[in-house]
Amino acid sequence: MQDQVTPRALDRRKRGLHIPDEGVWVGLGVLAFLAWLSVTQAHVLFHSFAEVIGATVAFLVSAIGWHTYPLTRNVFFLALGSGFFWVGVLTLLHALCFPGAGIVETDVPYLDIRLWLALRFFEAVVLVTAIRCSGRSHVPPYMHVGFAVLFLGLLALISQPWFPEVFDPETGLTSFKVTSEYLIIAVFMLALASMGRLQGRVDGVVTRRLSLAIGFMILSEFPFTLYRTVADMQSVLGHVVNLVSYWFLLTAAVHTTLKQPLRVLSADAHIYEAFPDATVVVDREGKVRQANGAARREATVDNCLGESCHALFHPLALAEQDCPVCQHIRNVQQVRMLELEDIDTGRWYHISLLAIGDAGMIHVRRDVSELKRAECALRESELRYRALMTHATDAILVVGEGQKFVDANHEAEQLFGYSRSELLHLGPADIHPCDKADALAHAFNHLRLHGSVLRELRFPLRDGSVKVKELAGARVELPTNVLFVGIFRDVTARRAAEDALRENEALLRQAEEIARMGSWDRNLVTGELRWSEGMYRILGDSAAKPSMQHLLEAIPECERNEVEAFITRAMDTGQEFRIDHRLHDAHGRERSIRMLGCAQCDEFGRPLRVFGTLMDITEAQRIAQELKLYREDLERLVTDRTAKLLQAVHELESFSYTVSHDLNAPLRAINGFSCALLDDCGEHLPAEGREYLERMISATNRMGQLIDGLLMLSRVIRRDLQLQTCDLSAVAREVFAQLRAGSGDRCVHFTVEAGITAEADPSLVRLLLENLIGNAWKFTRERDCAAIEFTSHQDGGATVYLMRDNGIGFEMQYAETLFRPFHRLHGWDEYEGMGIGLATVQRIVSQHGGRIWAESRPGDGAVFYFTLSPRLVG
Amino acid sequence: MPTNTVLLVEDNPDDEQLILRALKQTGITETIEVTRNGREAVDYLLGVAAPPRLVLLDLKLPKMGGLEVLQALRLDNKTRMIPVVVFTSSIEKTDVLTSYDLGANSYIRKPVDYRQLTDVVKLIVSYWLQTNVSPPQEW
Repeated sequence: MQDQVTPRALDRRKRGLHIPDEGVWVGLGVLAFLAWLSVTQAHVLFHSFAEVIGATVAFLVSAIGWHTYPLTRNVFFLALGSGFFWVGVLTLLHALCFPGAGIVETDVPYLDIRLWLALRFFEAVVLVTAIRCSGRSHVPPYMHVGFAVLFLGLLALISQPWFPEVFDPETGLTSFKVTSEYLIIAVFMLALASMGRLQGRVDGVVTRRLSLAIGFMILSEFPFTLYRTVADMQSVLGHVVNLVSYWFLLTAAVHTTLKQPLRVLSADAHIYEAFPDATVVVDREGKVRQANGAARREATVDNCLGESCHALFHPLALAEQDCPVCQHIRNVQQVRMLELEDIDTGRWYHISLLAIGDAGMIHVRRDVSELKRAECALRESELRYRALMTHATDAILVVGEGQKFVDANHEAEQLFGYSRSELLHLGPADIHPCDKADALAHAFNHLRLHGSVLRELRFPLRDGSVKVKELAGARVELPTNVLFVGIFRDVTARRAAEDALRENEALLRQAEEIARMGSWDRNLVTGELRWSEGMYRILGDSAAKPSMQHLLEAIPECERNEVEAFITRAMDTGQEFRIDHRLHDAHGRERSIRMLGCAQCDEFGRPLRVFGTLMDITEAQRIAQELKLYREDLERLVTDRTAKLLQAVHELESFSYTVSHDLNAPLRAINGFSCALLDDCGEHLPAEGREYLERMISATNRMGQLIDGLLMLSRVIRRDLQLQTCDLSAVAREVFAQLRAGSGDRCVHFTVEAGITAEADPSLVRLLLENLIGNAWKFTRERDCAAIEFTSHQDGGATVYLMRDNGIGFEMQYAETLFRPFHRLHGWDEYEGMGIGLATVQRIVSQHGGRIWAESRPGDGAVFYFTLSPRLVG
Repeated sequence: MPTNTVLLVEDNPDDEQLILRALKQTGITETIEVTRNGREAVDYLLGVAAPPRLVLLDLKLPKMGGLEVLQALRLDNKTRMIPVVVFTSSIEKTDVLTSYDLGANSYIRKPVDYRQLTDVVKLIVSYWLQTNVSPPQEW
């Protein structure tokens, strides 16, 4: 339905004067006709026409007001309609009673004029009442009754004989009539003054027309105060003006109740057309009878009218007889929002059905796919968020704008010691879990002010340990509000590792400083080269930039290529290297450097990085050089001394040889010739002389033994040890056997522990045992049954050998002197011997690095202890 | 063929007299020749027509040491087979080993005690000249 609006009509509409062009001319024509009729023909006819038109308009207004009320709920028009019914009745009565009409004859004088007054008064009261009631939401129930009562009351009033005269044939209108007219004008004026109340409740055009109608009613009143006869010009003018007022009343009613609703209807139709959901009218057969723009666009056919609604708007996967929507259409059942999914297209629809009587049903299909998708996305997003919160190993807190927690995960519950529901009643300022009481609140304040935060917080735990958490916070802008999310990550281990690393680095730095070392580390992948602090120290340049070039340039040219070749080979092959070279530091000093390097390789053996250490060995080399000199000096000294010693030993040997050879000869001569003298001339000598000779022989023999003992001793001293495993038990048995063979008549029990061995020089060990056993043999001579025992035991890791006898023993005060050469405890006449045996034993034991000592009590035997631990060399 | 001669090479006249006395006490019939130094001994042995049955050789000798004498004897075919008993004061191990290496038949130390000396000489004589004597009591 298109409303074609001409520019002129639009202009007029703006001004609020919407008067159909044709209507004006028709109205003016009617009025002109009536005026002509009244002047030229008969006044009664004119009057009847005019009043009938008025009554008609009144009834029309009444009918419109009464019948449009259920649709418009306009109280003003209802009140107007209710009152104007009686206005119409009064108008008709007035017209019927008009003098000359001859329809109703009464005794009441000038009843037509009385009715006129009642009519006008009633009309004015109705207008005032209607305007006054316009603000109410409902019509006061007494209004209709009130109007009826007023009508009857007025009829009764004007019929009374005491009602004042209204007309005098002589003078015309009575003063009562004129006064009444002015009173009516006043009531109309009141109505006009109240017109403002209608603003906003009634269309502006209607208000203006009503105002004009009331204005013309007032105007028409004035002629009625002036006329002398009912047929003069004043009366005619009053009626004409009154008709004009009725005209405006009629157009107002028409505008309100016909044009306005139709325009609204037309707008509704546009709404229907513009409605974004596919909306169709379907008949009971399920055929489309009407379709809006959206439906036409969504339908797959050019003209959807008469097509099957199911085919066009329902999921095709459903057969029409199974389609729930179609079932509802067949049964004419209204439905709100039936949700359907079109499996073929994956789209979701909401379908509503509204019954519109026999015409069928309004079928609205709304595509909710996007809504559904958004809903799913929202649900998924929520699930993801929940999963993140639940499974996060970090504690997560969400703070709302109100400074309260709005969410917290399980980790946060654990960390803060509150359940989630407890936390939701708290805020960062309410809990103090950190070592500093307000650290958490401060962190969230910072987050609120700056939009982000990153800081470490320390949480002391009940068990005394401290957890270090890194709080990373961010401000999250939501469409409706702002949230602050705080994530607490446990960095205790990382912090501890960092501390340890820092400590290690410090230690390394210290160690390098102490060891005069530096190290470099070259990443072969990134090419990055790092130097430790020691490198700068060695190069004497704290501002140096780490570079291999710089390092190589510090090396003297003659050695540079070699060092470079080593490093290059390590980078290529991953081989370890070690090279000593010189280096000139930034101050020009020459340093001796030992460079050690190795490469770290990947699983394929390709070097990833090369490490190198530089050790400043200048000082060490200087010390080594000095040491070498000292050693050389020492060796020279030792060589000299050894040569001298060897010479001395050599001289001693020749001396011993001389002694043994040359001392023996005179002794042998003394002895021999003494014997010869005794043998040859013994009988010529006195007994005394023979005894002297015997003593000489004995003395020379002792002297010989003495010399032999000395020789033996000297041989032991200068002998080189030839160590091998010796079976001491076997040697002891052999020595004992010899002794027993020498004097078989003695009773000697000799006990030897089996398997005594020693790492020793065999011939010296034999000499040692010969002397010790011989000693025991000699000093047990007095015993009826001697006992000699050779055993061993372990003492402090060394083997101690024991030679025990039950001989005469000795005083312990002589225990030390026993081992001195030529020292004897007994007289020559008691026990033979040179006093050289134990001295020799002691020499042998010393030669082997061992020691010998003795324990004894006079008459109680003796025990000789000795060890043969080889002397530790060096 | 060997004669009934025993050669004593001894520079010390005391020892010479004592050993001769000990030899005579054994009752041997062989003639005892004495040379006072090594050179003389070698000259005698290389020059004599019939080699002695036994040589008692001291080591410490003037002009030519006993070991040189021994070496010289063992190098000459004529004297190679003569039994040589080294009879000396030395008990040096090197002397002992060198003597045996050079071909000494015995190495015997001269004891200081004359009675032992006579025993030792008896033993030597009885062994090398097949004289029946009892062995000494102490070696």
